[in-house]
Amino acid sequence: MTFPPDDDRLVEFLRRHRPEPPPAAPELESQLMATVAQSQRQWVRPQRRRWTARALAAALVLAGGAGVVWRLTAPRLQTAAGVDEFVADTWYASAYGDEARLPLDTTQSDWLVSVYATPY
Amino acid sequence: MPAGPRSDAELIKQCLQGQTAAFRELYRHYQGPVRSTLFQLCGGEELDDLVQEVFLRAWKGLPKFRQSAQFSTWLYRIAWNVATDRRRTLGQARSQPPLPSVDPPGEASPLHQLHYEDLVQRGLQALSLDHRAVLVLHDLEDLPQQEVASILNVPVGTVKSRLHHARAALRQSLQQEGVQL
Repeated sequence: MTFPPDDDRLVEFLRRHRPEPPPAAPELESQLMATVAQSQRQWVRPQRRRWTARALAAALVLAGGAGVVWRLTAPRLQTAAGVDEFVADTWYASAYGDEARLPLDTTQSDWLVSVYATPY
Repeated sequence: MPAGPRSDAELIKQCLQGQTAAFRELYRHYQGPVRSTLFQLCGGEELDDLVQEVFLRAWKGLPKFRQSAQFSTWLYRIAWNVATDRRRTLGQARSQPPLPSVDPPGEASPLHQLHYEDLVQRGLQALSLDHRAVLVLHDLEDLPQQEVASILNVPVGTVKSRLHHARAALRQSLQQEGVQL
């Protein structure tokens, strides 16, 4: 679309006679900056909260992942009874071989006595 | 050596770091054109409040501002949004307050300029807000059509069309008042 040459004269007239806005109130800038400063505190805080939430979420994910990995790779002897059984098994196996293994009830408190009482 | 004026991008970066002094610099740089545009679009009533609203929205929106965009375009768009919000608030049914009629003074009269300003203001107010916005941004604020289109979020063709109709209507209005163009 091309504009007629009359438009140049119109635009020139408008620019020459454009109504000027009334001057700003003297305190406008200071009021604005006070509001900006006030909103800045509310502006920065949510950002901090966002970072805290992200850090917390990342820590939870890492902890969960570590838990899963540990559960998959750690020895399955997670209870005292399991440890006792493991010790008894390996001790017997090293001393007598698998064929000499005695049935042990490691839930009894004196199960170790029977082990020591066994002759070599 | 005194530091030269800082670029908009630099000032925005400092604003995002929480430096309100940088925002004051942006305000001082842009408050003139923003104020003038809002005045042409909304009139003088509550003008300070509208200007403040524009810059507050800008401050709050800065974290979302894309650095690839031009800050002035973005700021004008906020001003346009504030103007349309105000129109919505006031209601489209409300008519503009009538301006006092001024008799055409002689060419040498000191009222000459005031008279023509009055005619221009009346002519602008008679336009629809969409047409007025295009004319104000393009013809008075001297922004390119592409930028006006970006500010108003319309195609460039629409800007051209609105500009054509706005100028025609304003010319007619001025000619009816005896202005020879």
